[in-house]
Amino acid sequence: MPEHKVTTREMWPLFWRGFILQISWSFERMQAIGFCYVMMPVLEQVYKTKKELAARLKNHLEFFNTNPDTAYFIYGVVAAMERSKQPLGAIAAVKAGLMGPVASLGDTLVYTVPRTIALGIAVALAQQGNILGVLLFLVVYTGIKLPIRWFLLKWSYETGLGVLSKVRGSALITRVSEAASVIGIAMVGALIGSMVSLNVVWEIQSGETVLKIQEILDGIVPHLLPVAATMLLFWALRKRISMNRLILAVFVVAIAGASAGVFG
Amino acid sequence: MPTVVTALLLGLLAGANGVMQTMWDGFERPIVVGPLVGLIMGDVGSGLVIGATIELVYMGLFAIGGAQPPDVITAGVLGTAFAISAGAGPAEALAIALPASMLASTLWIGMLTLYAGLIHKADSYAEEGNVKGIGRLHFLGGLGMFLLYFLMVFVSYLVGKDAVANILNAIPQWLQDGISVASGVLPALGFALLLNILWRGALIPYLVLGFVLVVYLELPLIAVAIVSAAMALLHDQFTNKKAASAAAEGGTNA
Repeated sequence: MPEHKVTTREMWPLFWRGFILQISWSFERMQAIGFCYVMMPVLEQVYKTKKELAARLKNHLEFFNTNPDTAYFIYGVVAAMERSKQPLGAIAAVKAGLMGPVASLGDTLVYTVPRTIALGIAVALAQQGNILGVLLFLVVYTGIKLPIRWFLLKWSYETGLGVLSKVRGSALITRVSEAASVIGIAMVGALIGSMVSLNVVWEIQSGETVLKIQEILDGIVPHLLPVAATMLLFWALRKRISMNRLILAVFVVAIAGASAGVFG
Repeated sequence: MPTVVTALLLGLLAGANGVMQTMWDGFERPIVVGPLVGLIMGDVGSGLVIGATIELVYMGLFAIGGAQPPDVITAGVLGTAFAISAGAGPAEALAIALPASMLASTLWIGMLTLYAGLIHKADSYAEEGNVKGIGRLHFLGGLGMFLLYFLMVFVSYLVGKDAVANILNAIPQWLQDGISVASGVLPALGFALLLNILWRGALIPYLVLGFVLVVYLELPLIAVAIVSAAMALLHDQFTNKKAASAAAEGGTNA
């Protein structure tokens, strides 16, 4: 497929429509209607008979679900394929094959890592009464997503089908994902050490000396109990105990512990 | 401001976010919604602090493996609104936010299940090549999302404001203390979830380093982010050096 320079005018409908990909999301086919909606202008331009158009529309109403930011990569490839009238099956296969990896990459590079970091910093500033953290979060978070969307779309639309072989052989994606995970997990460590609080107010009296349990714990490692709580919950999640049950469990233990004079 | 007007504004905030969360997320986060609710109710400061507290818990709650987390928008809007209106603190806000958002989540899931109907109509429009029809269905979905959130919040606040305030003011001290402790620990759940997503044995050292940087060195989070970025680059260098030299050795041995 020849590469062709894509104009901003050609990209614009795909770009803005991608923003509302999910407003008709359902459990049955998830982003299907949205994806079809994104492709509609291209389809109308390329396919002039009702029969062809109908077939293409139906093809795009198949199940589809991926990360809404990195989805732009897929819009570009598919748009390029439609423009050169690639067969229905080929397009469906490309979509099916890309959905998963694109979602994983997007989730790590947008939600799990950057959003967590931006939110963490915003919360830290907010706790000091500083509202700028909120603005910072919005600016930075938006700042990441807009270029990701635009440049992924531009690159994949211009390169066309050939972009897939470039991407498949590339170790770069794994390396970027790995790097993001390093940053992410380090930040989670930092968050555990600064945003979780659990203190013991229990004191043991032995004659004249009063043993403050919390002081002993702090002497070992500060924030030891928050770490223990987090790892306990982590273990519980691994055992597939549900989020809601764990929320309830935390309340029960906290209330019981506070009443018993242990926590405070 | 009369309760109805407050309820209306809160409903609009929630409704707008209800649709936006599927389009351009970030604005539905409690840390953003908190101050906005505070603005509506005349107490931005409390809104900010309460929003931050709720955000800490909801930060790590992702929809993983089919498990839907409690709804983040109602948590932020209703949690903050009820708390400010009752003059309660962040811990109480969280205690309201959680059950309210769990209920909201159930309604949201219910609606998205019903949206399968949109798909079937879209299929028949596609047969006819009716592009406009598909577009209409798509926007209908968005309208539904707006309305669901608007109604959930508008009705809850209008009907529940006084009831919730009464309940909050009647909470005995021992229960308040327990809720306070719970609000301190709950963020750990979100972080545990994040760990679950990011977990790889090889990355444990970085988890430890992040912890040590704040606990012993008392670095602010931004500093940790910078150091983490540096560590990520080092990690990349180390792992790629190994791969490159392994390839070289493999070459010479062959």
